[in-house]
Amino acid sequence: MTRPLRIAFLKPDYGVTGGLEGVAARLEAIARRDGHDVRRISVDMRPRRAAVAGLDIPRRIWDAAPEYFGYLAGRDGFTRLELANHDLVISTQPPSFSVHHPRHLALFYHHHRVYYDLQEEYLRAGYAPDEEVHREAGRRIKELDQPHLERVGWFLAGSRTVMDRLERFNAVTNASPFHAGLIVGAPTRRPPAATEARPPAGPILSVGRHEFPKRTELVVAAAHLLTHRRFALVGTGGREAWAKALDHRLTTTEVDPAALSDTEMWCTTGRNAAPVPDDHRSNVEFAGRVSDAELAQRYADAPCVVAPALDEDYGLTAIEAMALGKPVIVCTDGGGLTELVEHERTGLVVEPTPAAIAAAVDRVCADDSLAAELGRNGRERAAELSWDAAAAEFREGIERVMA
Amino acid sequence: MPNSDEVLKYLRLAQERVEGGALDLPPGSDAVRYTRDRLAEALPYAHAGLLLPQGTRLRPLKQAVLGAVRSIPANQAPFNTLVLQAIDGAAAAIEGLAHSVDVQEQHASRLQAGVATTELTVDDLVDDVRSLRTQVADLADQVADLRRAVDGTGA
Repeated sequence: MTRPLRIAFLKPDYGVTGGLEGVAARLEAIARRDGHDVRRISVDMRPRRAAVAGLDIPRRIWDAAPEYFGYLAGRDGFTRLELANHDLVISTQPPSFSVHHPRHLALFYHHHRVYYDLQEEYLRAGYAPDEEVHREAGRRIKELDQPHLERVGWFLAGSRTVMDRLERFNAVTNASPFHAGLIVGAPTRRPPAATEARPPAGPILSVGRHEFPKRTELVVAAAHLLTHRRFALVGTGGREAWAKALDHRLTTTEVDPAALSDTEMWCTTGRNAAPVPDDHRSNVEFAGRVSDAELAQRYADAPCVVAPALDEDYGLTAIEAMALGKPVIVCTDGGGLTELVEHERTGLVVEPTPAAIAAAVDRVCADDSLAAELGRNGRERAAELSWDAAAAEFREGIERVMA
Repeated sequence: MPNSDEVLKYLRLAQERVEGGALDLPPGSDAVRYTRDRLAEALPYAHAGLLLPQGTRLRPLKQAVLGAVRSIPANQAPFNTLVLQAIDGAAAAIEGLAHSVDVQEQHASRLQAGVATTELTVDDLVDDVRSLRTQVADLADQVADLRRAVDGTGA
């Protein structure tokens, strides 16, 4: 084993907590258990002043490309960190990989996606009204990122999807896959108890932030094709009001959910969502943020779980669902999710449309033996993705950098 | 909305700024390094040959002769030693202060990246850093003076 090291975990703080936060915390705990001295170093990515490395940017200019200037401001924070007294740095989300250190292990799940793999969808959604500016900003971000990514000693990539992105955008191949275990609940291979043999009667569950492009709107639209079934969406986010407005619109109008275009659902900024009356009720529950215990219970009660995200880096919610024996429904363009979910073995992989998702939900809910088989296989698959296995991959990454 | 050319100009400026964004050496670092080097060189000669090792035969006599033939005041050697110690102390103080400036600068940079809770906090911190820089610069000047003094003693 590597001698005890002084390790800095680098984490940009975007003010939101996602699955990666849980992964980083688990890895820090593993490193501490291994006898290393671990420090978490965060840089806030929400600048209150419009400046990059001391260069004041006129607010109207900043607002024309906030993804660019904000990223550069945070990047500058990481490049200025003095970490020479650490044996090893472990970067997490971008731009923490911009740090200068000779021994650098990157826990890599994604680039600054709106300038890389999500650039076209981001433009199509209308987030960046000046396409020329956005593309030029993206070109510069890539130019800035490239030398830093080339200096990383080793990448622990969140999935094959992420490894492919690194190779495609950066010609980086010094990477190995890292499969995080589940964060909520406990994996088990035991067969369902007698009480679990009955099909769960709770709402169909979807867990994820209401953010672009998690596509929670697809679940809302699918729910309105299955009004006899209850759905629950766990999570909050900047597009929650938009998702609620869509739910209200589909409840109160004759719009056919199956006929909605992407730009009417998820491929839009979601700004200017119509207000929803307080007394609005439908078969969709917006549960917001819940405790881990409540989330585990909701998983247990759900007949199946829908994870509709576009090109996901990994898919922790799918692992959590599978670990609890739940069939998982993902989309064909789900990226890392499609690595975890095998069609008709551990779940269903369907087209990213409300109709296809609704049909998949109906199929699982109507066929108890299929649901049981998918759940059983999913539980076995999830058990392979244990934290013990993840810890071994993590330690191997450290060894590679320290060699 | 600003025109594209104006935004593109700032995209370039911001990139150039972060590309050249390696942490500047704090003021005084050169002076500290120079002083340290000079101290390392000067220390073996601080006594300028005036003090003979203990145990030297007829040491009091030889010491008196040395004092007579060399036009160095009798208090020169301890003076040199004290000056060097003083410079050493000043250098250490500057190093400590420079480190403090580094830390403050990093902190300020992170605040600028969004850690700040209020603009006032950022401004206060920037003022603190500016004050520290002034102190470092003053100390650097003092070290430079001392350096010239040491050079002047012929140590």
